[in-house]
Parts: sequence; structure tokens; C-alpha cells
Amino acid sequence: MTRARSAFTANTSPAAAAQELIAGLEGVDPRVVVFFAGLAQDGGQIGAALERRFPGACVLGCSGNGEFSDGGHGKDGAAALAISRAQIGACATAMIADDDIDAGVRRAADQISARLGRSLRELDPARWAGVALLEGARGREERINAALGDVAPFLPVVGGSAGDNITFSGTWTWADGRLQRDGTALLVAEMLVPFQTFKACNFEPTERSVVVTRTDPARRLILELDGEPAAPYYARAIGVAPDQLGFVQFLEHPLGLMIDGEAWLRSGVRPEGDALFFACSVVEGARLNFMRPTHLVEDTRAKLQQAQAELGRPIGGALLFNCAYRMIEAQIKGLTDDYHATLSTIVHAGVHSNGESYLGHINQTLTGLVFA
Amino acid sequence: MAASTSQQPGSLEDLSAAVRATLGSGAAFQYLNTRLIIQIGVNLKDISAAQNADPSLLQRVLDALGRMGIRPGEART
Repeated sequence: MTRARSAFTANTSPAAAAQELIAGLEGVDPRVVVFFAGLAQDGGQIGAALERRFPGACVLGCSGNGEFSDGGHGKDGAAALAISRAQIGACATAMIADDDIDAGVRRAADQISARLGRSLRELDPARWAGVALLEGARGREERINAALGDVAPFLPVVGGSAGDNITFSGTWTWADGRLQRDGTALLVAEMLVPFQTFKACNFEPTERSVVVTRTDPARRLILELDGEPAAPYYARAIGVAPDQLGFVQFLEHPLGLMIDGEAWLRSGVRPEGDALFFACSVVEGARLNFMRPTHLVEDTRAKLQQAQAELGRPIGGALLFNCAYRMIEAQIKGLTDDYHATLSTIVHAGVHSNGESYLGHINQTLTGLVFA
Repeated sequence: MAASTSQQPGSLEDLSAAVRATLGSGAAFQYLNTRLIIQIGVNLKDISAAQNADPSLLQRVLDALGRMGIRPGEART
């Protein structure tokens, strides 16, 4: 069977980068091609070159905070994954570019439904998957994910927020033959091989939990925890003074919404007065666990092994969305090469993202589509 | 869609039972329930007494299900 194939280039010239990606993907008759590239790359040039070379394939891509594949990892270059027609059957893409998120998602869903000849609401979640490359700089991922749930409530949709070198100045995506600043690219694909939507985070819950009692969701602020001002409460809980709260503390002490024993991480970014600014919004009344870290590389290796066991056959490929926090954690702990070596036991391409999505917006997580 | 003229559930527990009757307990229900937990904070598999007695929360979940085109108690096509 023709398998998925990945490509990586450190070349920062879009024309040369596109040619290197195409050369690396030769030998596959792809049904889907996904690419990731540095913010300064001309994503339109790369996307158009891939569409010309692979006519009939669904091509989508986005900017990132760094890109990687089993062929290499870096920043400002490009990576891509081609998924073969033996692995994906029908597929369609759409671009969500509207300021009115609900209307834009409905339009995209209608477009994809028309191309597939069936409603997204009726797709069998055992055979179909969605991949979303969300705009990652305007803080709208919760609303985009909710709108996707409204049009396709039973479809497993996984993805990540496009990156911009963690400046939150603006991102780009490519889908449906066009480049869109601050757009969201959506793919819906029929999987012909066993697959799973993948989610890994190297944190486990502690016994201590807290109830979020007051928020400002539009600004992603937690105002109160257990009825107390959030920042001093959180600082006390992790054993530091409020004025010592900084990135390292938030990196080491995310909060976790536990669902069926799995953590959906919510990561702090900074204190704002007595409030805490988080990288995703949290609903009032939610009970969150304080989390403790496990080993980034070991956890990732174990989760990939688990995914392979659940697929029942070797992993044939993966699209991966790795939180920039995890990228930074690997850098701080000197684990970058080990981390990518672990990922590189499988064919993959991925991006260091501004956030991750799996049915909702999450933080500090590796999400992906993993398939045989 | 095969319809029934079921009454609106009177509590979140009633609603949970109606949703399961519509969707079963497989992947579709799991995905839906995860979305509800993230968006509204309601876990249809683990409803607290306080949540079950909150009519405004019940309405929020019904509204969310309505946006998703899910009518609890009706068969899913």
C-alpha cells in the first residue's frame, strides 16, 4: 500500500521551499497534503505550488511557531505530509474567513457538504475526521470550535491554532486554493484506514482541585477561584508569592479539566491585577485540578505506543499540533532533539501551535490525527 | 427523521436519559458530551444535584443541543 510521506526543508525562500517539499513527497499519490511554514514564508506560493503538483488533492496549510517532520525540525522553513489515496477516500476543504464566526463556519460546512454530497451532521465518526487549522492570534478558538460543533456535533475534529512566532500579531492559513490572513482552514476526510484523534499532555492531576467561581470569558480571564481573587489564590496554591508569578510558574502548573480521566489543560499566561489571564477561557462552575508534570519525552513515547496498540497495526502517518509551551519546555529542559527523535519513530509532519483543538480549545497539549 | 412528540425534559438527568435514547452511548454521545462539558460545564454522565435543580442550566443545554440540531427523544437519522 502506498503510505504517507513527509518532507521538511529549512529553506526560507518560498519557491525553493515548495520545490524541496514537492521533491520530498514524490512517490505518493496523495489525497490530502498538509503543510506548515514559517510566518514569513509566502504560504500562497507554497500552497499554489503544491496544488499544481498534486491536482485533485485537498491541500491546506498554516503558519506556525516552528515546523517539524520525521525529516527534521526548525523554524521559518516548511514541513508537509502527503496522505495517500489508500488512506483517505473522499475529502473536501473550505476556508473560514468571516468575522461572523457562526456564519462563516456554516458557509464552510455547506460548501464541504455540497462537495461530499452529504451533511456533516450525518457523517459516521468511526469513518470520518475533521482537521482544523485555526487562526491563532485573535483569541477566537473557543467560538470557532463551538461553531464547528454546531454544524458537525458528532464529527471528531482535531487541529491547532496557526502560529506567528508567539507574537499574536496575526497568522495565515491556506485552503480551497487561497491564502487567508487570520482565516481558519477546515478539512473533512473519509478515513479508509484505522485512525484516531490523538491528544497527549505530560501532566497528571494532583488531589487538589479548585472551582472557577467568576470569569470574564471574552477576555479569557479567571477572576476568582473558590470565591477568592484568582491570582493570589493560585500563587498560594503553588507555593509562591503573587509577585513571583511568571511564565515558568504557569508552564509548570497548568490547571486541568478532567473528562473521563483525561486532562484538558488550561494554561496560565500572566496575572492581570488579581485576575489570571489564561490561554483559553474556562466556564464558571468548572472544577479544575492542579496538575503535576511528568516527563515530556517519556509521556509522548507512551502515548504514541498506546495509539499504535489501539490502531491494531503500525502507525502509517500523523499530523501533529504541538503547543508552543511544550516546545519551550523541551528547550528549557534540553529535550528538543529527544522529543523530535521520539516523534520521528513515525512518519509525520507538524507545527508548533498557538493552541490546540480537540472538540474544544485546549493548551499545552500535542493533538493530532494518527492513522494506519 | 422519525419523530416523537416527547415533552421537554424537566431536569438535566431526564435530558441525559433522552439524549442517550437518541444517540446511544457510543462515540457520538461521547463527542457531544465533551463539547457540553467544555462549553457549558455540564457532564451528562455526572450531573451534580445543584446542576440538576438549575432550570437555567437545563435551558442552556437545550439551547446548545438545539444549535446542534439534536432533539432529545427523537430518533437520529
